[in-house]
Amino acid sequence: MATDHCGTLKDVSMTKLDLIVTPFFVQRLLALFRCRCSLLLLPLLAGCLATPASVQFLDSATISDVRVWSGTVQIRGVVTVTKTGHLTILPGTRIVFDKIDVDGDGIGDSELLVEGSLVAKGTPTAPILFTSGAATPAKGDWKYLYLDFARQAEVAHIISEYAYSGIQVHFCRAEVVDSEFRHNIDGVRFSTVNIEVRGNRIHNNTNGLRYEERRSTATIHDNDIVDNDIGIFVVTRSADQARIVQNNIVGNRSYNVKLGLDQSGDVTLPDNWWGTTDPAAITRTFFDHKYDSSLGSVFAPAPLEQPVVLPQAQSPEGG
Amino acid sequence: MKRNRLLILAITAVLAFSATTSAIACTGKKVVIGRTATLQQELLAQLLMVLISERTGTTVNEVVFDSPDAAHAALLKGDTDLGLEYTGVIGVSLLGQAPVLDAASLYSAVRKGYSNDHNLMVLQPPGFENRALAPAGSANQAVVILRKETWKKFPALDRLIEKLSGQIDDATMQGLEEKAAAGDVRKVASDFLRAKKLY
Repeated sequence: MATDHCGTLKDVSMTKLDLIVTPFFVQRLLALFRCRCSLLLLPLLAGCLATPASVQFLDSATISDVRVWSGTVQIRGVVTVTKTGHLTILPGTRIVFDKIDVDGDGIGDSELLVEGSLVAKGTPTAPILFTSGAATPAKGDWKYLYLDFARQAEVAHIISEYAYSGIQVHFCRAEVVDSEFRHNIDGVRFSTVNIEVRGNRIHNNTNGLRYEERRSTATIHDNDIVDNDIGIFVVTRSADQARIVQNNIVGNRSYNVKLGLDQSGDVTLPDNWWGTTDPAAITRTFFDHKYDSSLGSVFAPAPLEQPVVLPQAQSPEGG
Repeated sequence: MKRNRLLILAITAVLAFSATTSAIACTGKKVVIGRTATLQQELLAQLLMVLISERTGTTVNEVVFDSPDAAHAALLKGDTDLGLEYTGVIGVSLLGQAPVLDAASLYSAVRKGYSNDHNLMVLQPPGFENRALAPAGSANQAVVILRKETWKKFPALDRLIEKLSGQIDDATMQGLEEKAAAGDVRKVASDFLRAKKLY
């Protein structure tokens, strides 16, 4: 283990290097700022928090303290932020997941699992990238960014691509805003949550948004849900309580909305842009009771007459 | 006493909640289909894979075996969840029954035999026969076999797969095989299911 003036560079395993910034260290910095030393400290702070361009390798690591990631973090296996862990990911960070398939099911097994606290807030010009490390990346190369019983989950201006699920959220309160989910099997997936999904571009996934409501409090608004195979996949257990309004839900190749085999209740999606206001044309893009009498129906009252305008976003490395 | 009961109830609730979590946490549940390398089995497996994954979101994988016996053994062992077999072969070769020419009677006999002897469910047949493999004096309808243990985890699986029941007669299967031989098997399966409005 080696230390420096910024915190601790801790050798977690043979291939793991990670920057630890303690709360004490942060408090000291803030105190010094208050002593009008800010100009002197700015380069120091930048040097501490923004890790040098080197790559940090994490191999099935556990994070139970306070960490800050920046630069490039390469993950192999499952990295878990435990209940006591607090992970902050700085703008511009690249999290690269090795493509490994331990159980041979065709889905990559590298993932970031958060049971503690995650603050991943990029900026429009410096988003945080979660991506595949494969030479020729493809959907499902890595498993997911997975928030499960997380104590805190704030996700903004991230790009998540080539995963099984770009993000998956269960049993917690979470905000997923102003981000991009592309080239995943499921772009954004949740169940049993209190979640706001706002201002995201969810495109070119197999399923753009996939959920099992299961008493969730979900507000999905001002998103592009476009050019996926399925725009919204309502798998099961939806009591029509998720509020899905003011989104652009267009151009999804098979269906804009599909109900799963056991979704017998109706689903209502008011005030969205469907590319048309013709009710018959809109309904044709739903897989519901029309196809299988055991399914509920999808309703789209008050369709918008023009698309919702989302802020322009940076999209590094194409998209 | 009352306090103890409440404590036990609370612990039970927490355990149940945890169990639910792990059940849906989540690359989804997985189903594994075992098949042999014939085009007919590949096509039928693709039909099932597309149908199950599209309608339920479940991840479905396939394992290809060298022989029907190896595929059957894997199903019995629990290495696979679904098998693709033929009623005539099941009746004569696997259950040791006398050949039966009437398709409906044979289906009833193998359904009962598999359920009693092997804890397997024989789902309603899609509708086509494989005459090349048929034991003498037997009808030989293709059937999907489902492990009862798997069915407990996926109680809607039989209902879903039986949406294919009676949808694929001999001529239809021959047409599908010809298309599959010339192109993308998964696309052939997808196009068929889409045309039947099954997904």
